[in-house]
Amino acid sequence: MTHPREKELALLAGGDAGHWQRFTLDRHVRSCAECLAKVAEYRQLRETLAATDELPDLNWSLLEAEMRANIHLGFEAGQCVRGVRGEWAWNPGAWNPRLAVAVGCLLVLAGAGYFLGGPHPSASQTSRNATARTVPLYKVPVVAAEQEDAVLESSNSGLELRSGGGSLTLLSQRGVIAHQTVSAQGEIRARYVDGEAGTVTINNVYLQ
Amino acid sequence: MSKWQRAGVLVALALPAVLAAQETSPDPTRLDPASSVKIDLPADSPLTLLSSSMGESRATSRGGALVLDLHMGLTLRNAGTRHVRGVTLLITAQEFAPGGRGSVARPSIDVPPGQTFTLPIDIRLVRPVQQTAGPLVRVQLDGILFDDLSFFGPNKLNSQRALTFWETEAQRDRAYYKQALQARGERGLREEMLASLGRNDRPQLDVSLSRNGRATGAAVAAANNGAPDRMAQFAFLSLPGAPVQPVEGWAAISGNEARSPQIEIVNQSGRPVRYVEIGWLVRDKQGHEYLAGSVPASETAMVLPAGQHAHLLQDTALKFSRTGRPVEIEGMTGFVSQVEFADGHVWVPSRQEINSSPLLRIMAPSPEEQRLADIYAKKGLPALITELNRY
Repeated sequence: MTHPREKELALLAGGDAGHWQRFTLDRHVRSCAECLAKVAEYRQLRETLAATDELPDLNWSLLEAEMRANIHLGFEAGQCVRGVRGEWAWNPGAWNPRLAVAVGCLLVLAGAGYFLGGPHPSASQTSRNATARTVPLYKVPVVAAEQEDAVLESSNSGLELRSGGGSLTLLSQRGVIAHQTVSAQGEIRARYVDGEAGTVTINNVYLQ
Repeated sequence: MSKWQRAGVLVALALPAVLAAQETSPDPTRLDPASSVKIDLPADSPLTLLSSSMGESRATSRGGALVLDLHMGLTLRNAGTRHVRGVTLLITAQEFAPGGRGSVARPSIDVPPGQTFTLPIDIRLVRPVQQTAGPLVRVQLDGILFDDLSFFGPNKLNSQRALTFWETEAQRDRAYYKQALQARGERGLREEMLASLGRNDRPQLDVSLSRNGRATGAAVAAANNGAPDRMAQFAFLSLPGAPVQPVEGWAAISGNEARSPQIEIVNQSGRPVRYVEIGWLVRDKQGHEYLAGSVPASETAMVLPAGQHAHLLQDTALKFSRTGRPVEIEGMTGFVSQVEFADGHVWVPSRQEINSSPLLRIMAPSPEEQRLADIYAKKGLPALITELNRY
C-alpha cells in the first residue's frame, strides 16, 4: 500500500487540504490504521499547541518581511530549475495551439482505445480489480505548503541541483570526475584530471 | 473491425499527437559568442585573452528558465613576468540563486612568461528568461597565483586561499615523489605511483547538501525511518604538526543525515590564524569509514589570535548514501586539514603525517598527486620523470 506523505497527513489533520486531496486522503486513512494514528497525533499536537496560548516575544513585522523576501528568492530559484529535466512548464497565461492539438488527439486516442480494445469487463470484474489495485486512480497534484530548499547532490553521475520537484545536472560525466569534495559551507567541488594533457580542472558549484 | 483495421485507426490518431508533442519540445540554440558571453579580464591583468571558442555551447528555454550548457575554451597568454601556477575564473549567469554561478580553476600549472594555455569551461548554469538585456553569461577573472605565491585578482571566491593550498600541497607532493625517485630509483617511484593509483578506488559517498531548513518533531523522525535526532560527538584524529587543534565538536544526526556541525578549535601556534578547515569522516554501522566533506570556518574575516579558542559552525544538512542506499551514521571523526595564517602562509598535513595515519586510505589525494598518477598511467614512467624534472 502506498502511504501519503507526512506533509499531506499534516494538512489533512489541520483541515488545510484541498477538496480532492481531502477526498483521497480520507479514503486512504479510513482503511489504514497507521496513517489514522498519525493524523490523530497531528490533531492532538495541534490542540496542545493551541492550549498553550503562549506566543514568543518576536518582532512580527520583521519576521514577515524576512519571510516574504525568502519566499520571493526561493520562488525565483524554483522557477529556474523546475521542469528542466524534460518536462514542460505550465503557464496558464499562454495559449499553445500545438499543445492543445496534442492533448486533444491523446484524448481521442484514449477513447478510441477504449472502444476498440475488445470486450469490456463486467461490473463485478471492475469491482474486483478496483479492490486489488494499489495504484491510486487519481494522482492529485499537491501544492507544496512550503517552498522546498534547494539541494546540491554529488554522486557518481555528476553534480545535480534539485529544487521544487525539478532537477538539473550542473556537471556531468563528460570528462571523468576524479574526485568530488563537499564543503558544509554550501559548495561542491568536482575535480577532472587529464593525464594526456597533464592538467587538472576543478569546477565549483554553489548552493547560493 | 479486424485487428489490422484497429491498428491503422490507432496509428492515424496517434501521429498528429506525436508530431505536435515533438513541435513543443524545447529547441536548443547555439550561443553567439559576441552577444551571449562577456569575458572580463581587468585591464592590468597579467593574463590576456588571445581567443575564445564557444564549442557546443547551447541555450535551451525550459518554462521560465534558460539553461545554459557551456563548453567553451579560453586561450590565455601570460603577459606578466612571473610563472603562473594557478587560475580561477568566475562564471555567472545570475547572482544569488542556486545554479546561477560556478567557477573553474586550473591549479598545478607552470606557465612561463609569454606562453599561452587553454582553459576549458564545461559547466551548466540557469537564469530566468525574463532577466534584463545584456550577455547571458559573464566570465570574470577571480585570481591568478604565481610561483612566488603572490596573487592577482578580485578574489571574490577566496581563490587566493584555495590556489595557495593547492600549490602548497603540490610542492609537498612533488618533493615527496622526487625524493622517492632520488632515494629508491625508478622502481621506488613506480611503487609509489602504483600505491597511489591503488588508493583511487577508495569508497566515495553520494552527498546531498542543503541549507538547514528541516522540520522538527515527528515529521523528521518519520522521514528518517523513525530514527530520531541525536547529538553525536566528533572524535578527532591528532596531527602533531597542526598549528590548530580541535577541542570538541558535535553534529545532529538522524539516520543518514548530519546537520549543523559545530567544532571548537584552539590556536596552538604562536601566530594569528585567519582560516581553518576540518576534514569530516563518517563511519557506518559496519565500521566502514568515508570522507564525507569538510567543515570550514564560517567567518570570512576570522582572525584567531595565538592561544585563543573559536567555533566553526555551519548551518547546513548533509545526507549520505552509497549506490542508492542510505548510509546510517554511526560515528564521526574530524581532523585539521587546512590552516591559513593571518600573513597568508598556509599549513597542510605533511606526507609523513598522512602516511602514518588512517588518512592515507580515506583522504583524497591532492590534485597534483592525482595529476602525476594520471600521467604515469597514461604515458608511463619516463613521462612522469620528465614532468617531475620540469620544476
